[in-house]
Amino acid sequence: MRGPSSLFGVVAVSLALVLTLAGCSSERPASGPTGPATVSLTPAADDLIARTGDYYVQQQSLQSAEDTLTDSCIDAAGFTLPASTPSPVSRDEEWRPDPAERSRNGYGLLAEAQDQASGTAAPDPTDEYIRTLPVVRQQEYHAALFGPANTNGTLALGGQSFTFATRGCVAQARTRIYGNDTVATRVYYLPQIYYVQLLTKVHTESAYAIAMTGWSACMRQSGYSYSNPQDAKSQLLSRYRTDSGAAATAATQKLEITIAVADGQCANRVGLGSTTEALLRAAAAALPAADRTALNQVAATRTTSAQRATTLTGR
Amino acid sequence: MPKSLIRRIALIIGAAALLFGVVAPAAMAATPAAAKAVPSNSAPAVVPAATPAAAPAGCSAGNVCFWNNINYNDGPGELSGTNASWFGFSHSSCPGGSWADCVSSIYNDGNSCTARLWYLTNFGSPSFTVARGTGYTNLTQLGTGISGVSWNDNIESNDWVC
Repeated sequence: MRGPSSLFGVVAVSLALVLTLAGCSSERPASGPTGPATVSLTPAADDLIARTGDYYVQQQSLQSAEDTLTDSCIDAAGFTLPASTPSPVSRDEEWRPDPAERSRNGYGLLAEAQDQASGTAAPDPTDEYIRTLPVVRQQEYHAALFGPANTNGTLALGGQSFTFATRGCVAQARTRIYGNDTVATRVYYLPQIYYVQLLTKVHTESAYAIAMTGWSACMRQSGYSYSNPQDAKSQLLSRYRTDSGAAATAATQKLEITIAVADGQCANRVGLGSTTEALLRAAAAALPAADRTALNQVAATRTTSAQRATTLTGR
Repeated sequence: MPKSLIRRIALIIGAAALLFGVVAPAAMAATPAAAKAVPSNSAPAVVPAATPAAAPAGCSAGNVCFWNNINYNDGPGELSGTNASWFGFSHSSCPGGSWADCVSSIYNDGNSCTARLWYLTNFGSPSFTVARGTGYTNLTQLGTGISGVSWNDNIESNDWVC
């Protein structure tokens, strides 16, 4: 999955002049019990925020198990899904590019551009299968997947509220993996809430701005003038939109991969990934004790759930 | 910090590529399923926490659905595809006339993928995701990390993670 980043990186210094980021203030999801002031983040929580250690392995286990268990349940409900293999979880973050993914797909913009042009998402085998079904069977499929109407549950998490399916194959799969569907919703959303907020805060740090300035200078040495990766992506997307014909698109894709690889090399050269990791950890460590406690709890639950997911599916 | 001011700051310091980020609606590849709207209602109903909530009315299977108000009220707009700009998806009760920067609650009724929502057009960061079969009832309470700025009325593009 492509990680959030970009705009606020390049404008970090200027934004810092006018934005007063006060941690996560009232928007933080401090829903856990208030812990002692000295509580430290566990290594698992640290990895959850910086997306290091077992983060991606766990993500893969959780996602694969949910997909596999859901598909088995759907099959048992009388639907014959096309054979599929679990999709690999992307390890490519905008601030910590994955060289293999960059070499293979660039930024992944071709698919985005094609989706836009067609007005639909890239053909997913499951979606294609559903479209072949009569309307009544499509409705039955949806009910099998998410349960009948009026069965959604609600989770209050901090000041926020989430709706989630409590019946159907998805909910059953999540219950087997996480223990119950409420815990599944919490494990999915709580880390994201912290990550998005902390990463945006990181983008205002001077160390990040320095690294991004170095990245931009490095890219110029490679012949590309971008102030941040989002600039590169925006310009490439614009070029895809004006391409006419397969040859032009292929040329843009080749350029995209070249630029994305150079981006990764420059990020590595200036230490953008390690800088961001360190800043994320520091920002998390500076959270109020209740937030650190909540993060520790959700990281522990995620670890246990990932282990259970591996046991359930053998992957 | 209004998004418009953030944009102006970015422009001032020379982030020229942002010009693509505020692309005019005409340049957008629209998904026809978007902009299905219902008339604006008055004050949204409150859904008590920890009690079963109704599935969002009007949200079609396979789509990410979104509403002008919290608690799935005034909408939904629906999208099944990838869209680099929501400025072309009109909705009369939105202040700007389009769904861009107008969404207060969102639900992923997709069959197999995770919906990803972006703060700016052209998939401009930050972003957040919505797992299938789940939704946020109140984006005013979901912070972007920018001081005082929530995700409420701050989504401008979307794609899917499959």
